[in-house]
Amino acid sequence: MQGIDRSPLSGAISVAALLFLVLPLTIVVLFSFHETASLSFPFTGFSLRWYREVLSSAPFRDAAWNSLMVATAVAISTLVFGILAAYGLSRTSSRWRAPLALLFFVPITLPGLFLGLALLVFFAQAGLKLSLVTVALGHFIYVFPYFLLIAKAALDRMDVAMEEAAADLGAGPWSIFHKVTLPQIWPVVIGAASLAFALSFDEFVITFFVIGSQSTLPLYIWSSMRRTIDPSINTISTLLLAVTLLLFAIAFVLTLRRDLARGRAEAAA
Amino acid sequence: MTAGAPYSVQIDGVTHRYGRVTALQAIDLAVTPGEFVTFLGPSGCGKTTLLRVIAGFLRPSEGRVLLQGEDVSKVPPHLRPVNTVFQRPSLFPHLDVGENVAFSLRLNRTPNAEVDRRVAEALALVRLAGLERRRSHELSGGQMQRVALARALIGRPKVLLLDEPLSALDLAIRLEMEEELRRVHRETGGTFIYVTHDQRESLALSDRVAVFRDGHIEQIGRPEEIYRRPATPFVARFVGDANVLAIDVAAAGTNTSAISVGSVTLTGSHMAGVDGAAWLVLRPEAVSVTEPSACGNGLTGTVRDLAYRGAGYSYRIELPGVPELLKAEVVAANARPFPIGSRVRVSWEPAACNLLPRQGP
Repeated sequence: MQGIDRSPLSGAISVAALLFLVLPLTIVVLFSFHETASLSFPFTGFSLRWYREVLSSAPFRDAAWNSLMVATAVAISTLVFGILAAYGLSRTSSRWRAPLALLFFVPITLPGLFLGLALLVFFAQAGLKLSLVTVALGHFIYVFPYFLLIAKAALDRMDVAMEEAAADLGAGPWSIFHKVTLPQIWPVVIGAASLAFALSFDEFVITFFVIGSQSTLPLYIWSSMRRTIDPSINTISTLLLAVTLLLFAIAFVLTLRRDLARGRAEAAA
Repeated sequence: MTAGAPYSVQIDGVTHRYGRVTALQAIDLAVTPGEFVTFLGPSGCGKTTLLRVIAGFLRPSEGRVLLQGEDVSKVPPHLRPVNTVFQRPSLFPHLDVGENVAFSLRLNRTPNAEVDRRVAEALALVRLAGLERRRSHELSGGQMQRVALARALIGRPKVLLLDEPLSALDLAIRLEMEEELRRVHRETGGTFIYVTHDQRESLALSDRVAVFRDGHIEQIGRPEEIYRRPATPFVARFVGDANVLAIDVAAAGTNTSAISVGSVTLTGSHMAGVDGAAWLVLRPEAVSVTEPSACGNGLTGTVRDLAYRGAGYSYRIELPGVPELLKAEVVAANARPFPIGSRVRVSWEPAACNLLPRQGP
């Protein structure tokens, strides 16, 4: 890359924006390791005391376990239904294809508050008792479009001629799907499922509306904050951040790996 | 399979429409076992559509497709005893060369030992022996297409369909692959149906050529027949780039005819059965270009373009009253060419020309 005139100002603005994004997070992470209960500078010393305290707390463990269960259920159900929906949408020649795809993506555009409220009303009407199941259902609606968007893009990018070649060689529809299509898109699909997991794991607004007496991690943080503010909240937030970041990293690497590899190959050529 | 079915492929009144566009118009065609047939024609003529109908990717709007005497019109592609080599190799990127070739055998759970043996055989047939463990992206374009050929042949299909398999390759590799295809056809003895828009390829490869135009077969026959005796001006122009001149023939005496070419009228020997308007089909290599002379029967024209072809020269000659330029390919190893703008005499052997009926004045 040559000949692009990068002004030093744009570099400075980028750095400033990054600092603005990262600094608050850094402070949260830093004070999760503080040895005293103080949440403001000066920082007096490192300690794992808050981690010990949080990890041994029963309400935290319950909330973490609940979050894990919900996110796992959401990731798996999104994976299964999402692949099927994406495959159908990508391969159909129906004239309903475009309107149908649009309908699938509507939940992305809705504010979480609206979705939460709508679901609460719906569950009440349907006579469903609020529980982790209703939370998982709510999260499913919320994360499904993201998964679908990524999986459908991967399927659209795939060369359909390859599926024709497989059919020609004697593969029926199911064999084509699991011997030719799936092996080519699975990294993207796993990446998208990780994203679904991460989105569910730290979802707050919808959860707040449709959860019963139990708690998830984001809800636990929120309720702890109403009681006291001490570094244990920083600790939980840091743990949540670590899990989410890890999953986003996995999602990023898996979904973009091929594009990156292709970019490198083209740059080398 | 019906025993002793006389035809490998039989197309029975097949019509195909895409919406309101008719891509194929009531095609009838029968291919005998072991025959190499090419579908030749410009893009959009219906040749690929017919191939896809035979493969099963398209259901004909009307008519039937019979393979080995059995009606397969409603059989999906994966259950038909045909395999296809596509324009692009479409190798499976997640499988190595060996597993690509083995794909159809794995589907019907062939034992490993037999798979290995037949993959080795198939790769040897396309001269890629020992490349089983290569990844497909490590191969050249020609090698990929050979793998696709091995993959299509390993199931011993009754009919092999080839959809412009060489069109994406460089000329040198294309010529080499043509030779390979002829050899593979001889060695396997199968029925090959080959779609191409390259007339040279179709003449070089096939037992019979079907020339397509606007959804119908304009002419079908051996390559020599198509080349020497084109049935229509379209075939004459498409195959071998012939000159097609509008002429008028009138009886001028007991044994002579008056032939008008453009604004010149020649006297020639009597042409049996031809009277009035006709097309004169003349191969460029049948045209002689010589010094203009006052005596004798012939046409005089002006050289408008000249290109060196190695073995000789290629001329474009303007004849008085003829709208298109006459193409002439002259083999002349040492002779100096007639420069652009010079007057030349063009002539040809009577046996070299073909006359086709022409409507109109």
